Amino acid sequence: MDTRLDELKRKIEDYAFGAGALVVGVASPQEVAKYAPEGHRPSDFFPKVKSIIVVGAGKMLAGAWKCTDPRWVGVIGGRKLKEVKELSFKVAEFIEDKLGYYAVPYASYSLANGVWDPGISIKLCAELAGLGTRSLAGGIILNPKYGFLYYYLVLTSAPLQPDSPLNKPVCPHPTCVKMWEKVQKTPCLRACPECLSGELENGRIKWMQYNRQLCYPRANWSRIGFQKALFEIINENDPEKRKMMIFGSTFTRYVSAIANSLEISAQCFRCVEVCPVGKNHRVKK
Amino acid sequence: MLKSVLLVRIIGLRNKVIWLRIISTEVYRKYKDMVMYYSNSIQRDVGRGLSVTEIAKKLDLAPGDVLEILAVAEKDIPFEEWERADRFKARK
Ligand code: SF4
Ligand code: SF4
Repeated sequence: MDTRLDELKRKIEDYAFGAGALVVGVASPQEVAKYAPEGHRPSDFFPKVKSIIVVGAGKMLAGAWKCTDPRWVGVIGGRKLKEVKELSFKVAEFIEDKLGYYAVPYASYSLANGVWDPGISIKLCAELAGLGTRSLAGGIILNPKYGFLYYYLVLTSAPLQPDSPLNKPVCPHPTCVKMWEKVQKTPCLRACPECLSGELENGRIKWMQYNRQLCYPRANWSRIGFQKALFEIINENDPEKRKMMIFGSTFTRYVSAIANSLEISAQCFRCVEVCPVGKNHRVKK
Repeated sequence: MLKSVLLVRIIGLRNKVIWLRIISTEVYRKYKDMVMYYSNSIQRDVGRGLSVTEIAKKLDLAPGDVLEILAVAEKDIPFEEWERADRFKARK
């Protein structure tokens, strides 16, 4: 690879780390296209794409896990997610303003067409960029150093040297393998048996399943929680009761959640909380 | 060809016309489970969920039909699940 291209990559990485990224990697759009279906390939979204930069950050504040109300983790998680989004915008602007290439941030969490059919899989890009591997906990990408992080993409016309996927899976962690051998459970499977199932064999994931529809009301979709509550309210015939529903504490929290991606129907971290990967970042004095 | 998405005309504020895309309830009932089955609603390690276009091809529907079915079906979970979720997350 041309050393000027390596230099270009280093400039982008330096900027991203300076702007708050904890991890940065580059995925090749051609590699992504090998796995993604038609209509979901990077060039379907941005025909000029030559490289996909994956930025990861949003490590949870260790103190959040120590609060008496565990939902505080979700409140902070919502804020962290926004930080990573901002970061991807800054990186895109840096590429355009300082390096002169086209760049566009991309987040598939925004509901494409109102359904969960993301345009580009961020998980796939993060894996191919060598930032982590899929886990038993809903297939979330676990980074070997930090565990769970939020990821955003920046698609650019800048030609950059792609990184390679990790050659060793991050999940299961050795302590999970030991636990499995003893009790046929791992911390995440025990934390959320309704959404998560799977089996380990010879220290590796043998099979796994993630029931996203059940995880949905817990971890995702503050907007949908709002829609669900609204539907219940509209169907209520008694105007007095309707008033109690609209002004009551639950619906007030839903309204707040759609504005801020807060805790009531978003941001469940139960499976992440118990995961030993990146646990050292959750321990402070 | 789009065969089942209807547009509903609503008169909104200041007599402004608003159009809502909806799927016919009959088509929704008929295909809901199959659409959800092929989507990435339940993610298994082998293979991946199909995209809207892929599901449409498989079920001989238009992508617009699948999109609307999926949009409704993803939320078609009893409201009690949201209450349970609230309790689940509040548990220490
Ligand atoms: S985020 Fe919450 S609901 Fe979803 S799999 Fe993890 S523990 Fe279960
Ligand atoms: S708790 Fe263990 S098995 Fe579960 S996601 Fe974390 S490393 Fe994997």
